[in-house]
Amino acid sequence: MANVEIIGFAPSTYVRVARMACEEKAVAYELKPAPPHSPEVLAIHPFGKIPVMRHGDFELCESKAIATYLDLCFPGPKLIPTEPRHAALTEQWVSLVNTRMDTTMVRTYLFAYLFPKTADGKPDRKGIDAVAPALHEEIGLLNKSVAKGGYLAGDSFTFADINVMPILFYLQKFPESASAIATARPLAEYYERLARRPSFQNTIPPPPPARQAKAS
Amino acid sequence: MSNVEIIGAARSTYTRVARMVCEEKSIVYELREAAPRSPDAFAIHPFGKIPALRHGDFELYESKAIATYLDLSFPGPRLIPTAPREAALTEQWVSLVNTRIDTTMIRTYLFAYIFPKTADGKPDRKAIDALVPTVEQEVGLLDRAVAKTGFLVGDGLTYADLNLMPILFLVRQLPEGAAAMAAAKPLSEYYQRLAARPSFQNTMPPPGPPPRLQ
Repeated sequence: MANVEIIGFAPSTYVRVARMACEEKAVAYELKPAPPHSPEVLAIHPFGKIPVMRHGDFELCESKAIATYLDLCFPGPKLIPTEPRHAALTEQWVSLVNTRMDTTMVRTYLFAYLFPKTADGKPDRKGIDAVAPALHEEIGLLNKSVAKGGYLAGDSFTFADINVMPILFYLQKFPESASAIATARPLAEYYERLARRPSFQNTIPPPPPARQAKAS
Repeated sequence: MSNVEIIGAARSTYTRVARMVCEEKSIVYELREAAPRSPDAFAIHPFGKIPALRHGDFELYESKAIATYLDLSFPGPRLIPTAPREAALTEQWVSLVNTRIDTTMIRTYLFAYIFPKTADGKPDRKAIDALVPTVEQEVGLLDRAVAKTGFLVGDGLTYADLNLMPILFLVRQLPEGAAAMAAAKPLSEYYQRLAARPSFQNTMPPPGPPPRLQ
């Protein structure tokens, strides 16, 4: 069968999640660069979101679905546990990160730096200050969660960890979130430890464009 | 072990999803009525969302996680498939519904009727009119998805269907949503057929609007 194709662009946190799932399972894959809403993406995702996947005649969208497919199709370590409690906690943390923390941390906080809607194109200070309490609360919640077993779900590495790491990567690059993580010792240690995994090292996105770099 | 407790509101779509899972698997459960952001909800969910679950010493939140736990812990029909393609497509439809279709149809469209931000408290006509094309587009997407086999995934009932039905139940009660669904024949037939299931009939919410997480 043909190789797995991950279609999306490297800076996207969710594209990186799909790639990390391939890397952890040693699945041979190709990254086909495509921005959101491009024709290649809209051919698979009805709303043009990335990543999407093609494997032979099978097309799929949404990162969690892609991870599920890869985990069940290929040998290698199980990323989504099958024991009921461990499986459920993995789902819980994926759901919480995707429906709440991604919105706070990426769509609101990071985008206020990277894609500000200010007249002069400078970081949206008001937006950043407004989201700071939620950002701190959610970093605190992650910190408490990983303090117990060193992982989000139970005491072993799962897809829930893969799903959060690309978000933490960007949070490390901006002042309020970097200092919040630095004071959250278990979370800071968790990040450092998981960031050494080849799946993370092999999927580091290219530096952002100049305008975005200036903001960091 | 003690019974499964579902902590949530009978009028909440996601609470109904968790209850439908129990019903489909014949799991004995108790519904403990709790509003979003109530102390009972916050006792388990860090953001006070519903539903939450308690089973003996195990506490859990987020409807998809609850469904996963129930599906793996109890006998009865598998609601989340284990074959790679069917499992992945189930996840895909749960994701699409939860991240997009729920936002359009419940949080935006339905709430413009029941929690309008208008000065006089009447339905927000401007917001509703602006949203109708999106509602129709998403109804069309679901219609095409169920047209092939009568289910969202494969040729049998999965959790993806359970996750959608409580939303369709509410959309059909509003004029534009009802009209869009009536024009979508396969989706209408799908709704009628699945609405006849005991899991749906036994979880019919009492009259009144669903709760809103502020």
